[in-house]
Amino acid sequence: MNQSYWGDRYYGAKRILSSAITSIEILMFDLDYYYYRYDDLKTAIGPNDYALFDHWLTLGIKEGRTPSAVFDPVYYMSANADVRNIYGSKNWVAAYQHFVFSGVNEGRASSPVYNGLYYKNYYTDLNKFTGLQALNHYVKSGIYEGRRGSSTFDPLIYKSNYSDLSSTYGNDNKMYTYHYLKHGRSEGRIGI
Amino acid sequence: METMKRFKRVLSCMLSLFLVYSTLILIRPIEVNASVNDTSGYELITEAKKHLGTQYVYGGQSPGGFDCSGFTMYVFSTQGIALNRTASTQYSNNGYNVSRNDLTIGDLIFFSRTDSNDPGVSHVGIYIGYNHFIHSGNMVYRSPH
Repeated sequence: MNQSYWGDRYYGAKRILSSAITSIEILMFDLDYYYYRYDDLKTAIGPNDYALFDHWLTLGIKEGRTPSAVFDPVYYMSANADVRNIYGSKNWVAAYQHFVFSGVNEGRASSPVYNGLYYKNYYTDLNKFTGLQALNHYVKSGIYEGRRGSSTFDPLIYKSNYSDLSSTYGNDNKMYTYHYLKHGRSEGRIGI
Repeated sequence: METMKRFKRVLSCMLSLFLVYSTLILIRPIEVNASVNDTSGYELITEAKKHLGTQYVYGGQSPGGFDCSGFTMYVFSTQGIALNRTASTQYSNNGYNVSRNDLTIGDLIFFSRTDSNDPGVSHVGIYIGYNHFIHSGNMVYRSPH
């Protein structure tokens, strides 16, 4: 870190953009997932926090990469025909922008393991949450607690179904979700 | 007869109100990118990064050359957001305070001179995540770099 700026010269900060929007954007990017998901980036970039985030903002969005468990642009376009029909099925930037500005608050299905509306309706303690609150809860708590974020995947059932995974991941509930997204679906494993 | 006249007046009034209301609905512009809420950090950072390497020009506020506050002002202006012209007035007049622990993409971050005789705001940049920011120093670049 450059001490001349971040050390004795730092004075303060001001927020100009909407906190709600930038909060969604931050919640949509999971550094651990992005690193886990893409072997090419492990080789090319390594575990460099900023470089991975910068890759996502610069290239990943346009390439349709998946930045986290809660947002998969390919799935988003597949699951939301109205968005696909307006912007085109491979307009990944539009998928991102639509989810940020509308999809979150509409509780749309945004990945195989996350559907905002399903999530908040499934759990009584979340019933009154807004889309952003539900997303925030899932990212910061739900995924670690092993909560079910969609009708097609339950991490605890997935864990009990596959002993090879439970012996590897133990009680790390997040990893069952990660595994399903990266490997399980394509291997034909059942998510629920 | 009087009742009929009154009825016609009321009907005429109601019709006028309906026409005015309909006109207002029809001419209301579609709100696209009308407020700051319609700009994402992604859009802002993407714009800022287009200018990496642009030379520092004192007083500059265009892609031909920027000073620090001219750079932030220009980048936000491309998203329809007006900032004040100098670093100190951006700090005084634009947005609202956020703590260092709460920084997020798109925030303006301010720096002072190291000269203790003049400790006010002297420099500004845009936070782009993970302790990095983009700013116009001797050129537009990312720090740390």
